[in-house]
Amino acid sequence: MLNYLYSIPNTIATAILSVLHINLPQLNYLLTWVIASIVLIVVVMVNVIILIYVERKLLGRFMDRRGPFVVGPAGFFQNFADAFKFLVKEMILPENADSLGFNSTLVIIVASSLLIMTVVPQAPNFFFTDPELSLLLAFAIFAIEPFAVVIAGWASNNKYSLLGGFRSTAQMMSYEVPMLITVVSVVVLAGSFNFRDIVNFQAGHVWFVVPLIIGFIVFLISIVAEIERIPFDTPDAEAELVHGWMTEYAGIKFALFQLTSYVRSFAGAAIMVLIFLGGWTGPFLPPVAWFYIKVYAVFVLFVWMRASLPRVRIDQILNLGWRSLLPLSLVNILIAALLRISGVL
Amino acid sequence: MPDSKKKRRVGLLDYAFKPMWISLRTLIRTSLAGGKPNTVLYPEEKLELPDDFRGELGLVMDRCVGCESCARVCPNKCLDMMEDDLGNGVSKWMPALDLAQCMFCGLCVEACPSTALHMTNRYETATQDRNDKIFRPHEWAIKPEEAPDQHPLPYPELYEINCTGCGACDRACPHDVIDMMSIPGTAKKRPNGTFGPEKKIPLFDYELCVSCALCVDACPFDALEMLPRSTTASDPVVQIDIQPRAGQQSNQEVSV
Repeated sequence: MLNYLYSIPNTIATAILSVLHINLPQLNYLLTWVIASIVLIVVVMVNVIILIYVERKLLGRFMDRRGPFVVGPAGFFQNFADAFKFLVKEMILPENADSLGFNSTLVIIVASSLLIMTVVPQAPNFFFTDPELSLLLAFAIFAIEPFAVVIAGWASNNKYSLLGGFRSTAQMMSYEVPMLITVVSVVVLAGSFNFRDIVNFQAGHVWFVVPLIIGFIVFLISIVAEIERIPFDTPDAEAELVHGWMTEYAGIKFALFQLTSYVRSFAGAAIMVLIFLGGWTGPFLPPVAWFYIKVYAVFVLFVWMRASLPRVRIDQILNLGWRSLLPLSLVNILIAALLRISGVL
Repeated sequence: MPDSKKKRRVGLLDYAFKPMWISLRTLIRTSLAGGKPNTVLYPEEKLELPDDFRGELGLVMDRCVGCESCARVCPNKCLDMMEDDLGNGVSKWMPALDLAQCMFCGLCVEACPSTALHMTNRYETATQDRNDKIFRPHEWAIKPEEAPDQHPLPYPELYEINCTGCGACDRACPHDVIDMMSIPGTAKKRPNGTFGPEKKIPLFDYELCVSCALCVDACPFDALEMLPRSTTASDPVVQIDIQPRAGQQSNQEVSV
């Protein structure tokens, strides 16, 4: 089985070690994964930069204005200008803030968000790791962030930050259950927790969005809540809390958090493509191209929702999650079970 | 439990699909159908400004009469009178401008009797140094064709009934416009048979008047008012309407 994300770094590591005349298999293994990690981070970051540009430009057009247009061709390098601006800003630790909690949450959130992409395959021959339970692992890593958000809100020693952290927890209460039940319906149909098996099953039969359209809608709403984008961005609601749990983070820390939110958007869109929209399957074009086309289409849908929908109140999220999404997800799992038992799929 | 009947329920259609359709329509209109967004690329494109846009102040030096009306009316005290060269060797008493203090209220333009002040449509007034926004009169001068006449010049008119003939307007006038003139036959007869002083009223030589309204400010009895009046049609003859008194002729015509 050829995996470019492993084989190319392996070749590079072997070449480096042979030049240095070192013959240590353990060192070769370590160096290979370090290079592969760097390649993955670069791939993700390039995509995130493009995603931010797409979001800013599209959001501008949705709002009857132009997005960035000064820096670079059609404003493409505006992100770099903004990142540079954040880099040169002062790093402020608030008075009476808990230094350990304040700084460690940055590491936890950024690392856990990047870690999601390690278990998300991008093509049959382009993935980082391929564990048996990659779907469960992805959602387990996804769910780390709200805990770190509570810690960040508490450690900032600011009432708005703390309120943002509480809201993040309350929001997770509402969306996590229906989302995982919806995921279970996909697993019931595919018979596997592995992303590649799920995609292969869809390639052989039908995309799961067709039989599980209810589950698709539930998952769409839940994943938007999971990645905390605008209809469900109550933890950092600019209009109510200053910037929620991110209020006290300044400079490059704030930039990293913003970047992380797009990494999570990318991961959420990728997971949605993999388990509902057939992953990398598609005619004519290579699998990676189909994967990215679908991911960007889903992201455009996210941007469209962000441009259109007003922010939901925190009690409305709980109402929506427990009164609407949970029954719908149960109906969805019933449909999946019936399809499985009757042998249609 | 809240009364749910009174609440207007917003369904999924109104909450989600209608705004999404509206924003999609905006996207299509602004990008796909060859349309353009509503915004203007400011440094490259600029909006067309209306004629009465209140921008940076400009001074038409030829029209300025040095009456100081603008300096007096300015709420921010950003105008200050000083002697300055017109550029042809002639010096004149004209306002200097501290634009950094100006709040673009336009009161000076309204107060200016000779339409020498004009608010241009220049609005990019930022500079690096604060001192760059303090102008001597010739530095903020504009050409006369940039400042069209916006209102006919006002001239003082007399309400004879209020006038006591005190002569305050005559003393206030900087240009010898006003000449206090006795009205014959208005002198009071004293008990001893002599006559007291005759009543005086101001007569205006509108050819000399610069419409500075200093006389109006000086008048203690509100007998003067600035009224718009064409400069070309000014006639030096003033109709004096005096209450007819017994034994005296009325409706005298006094020529200057």
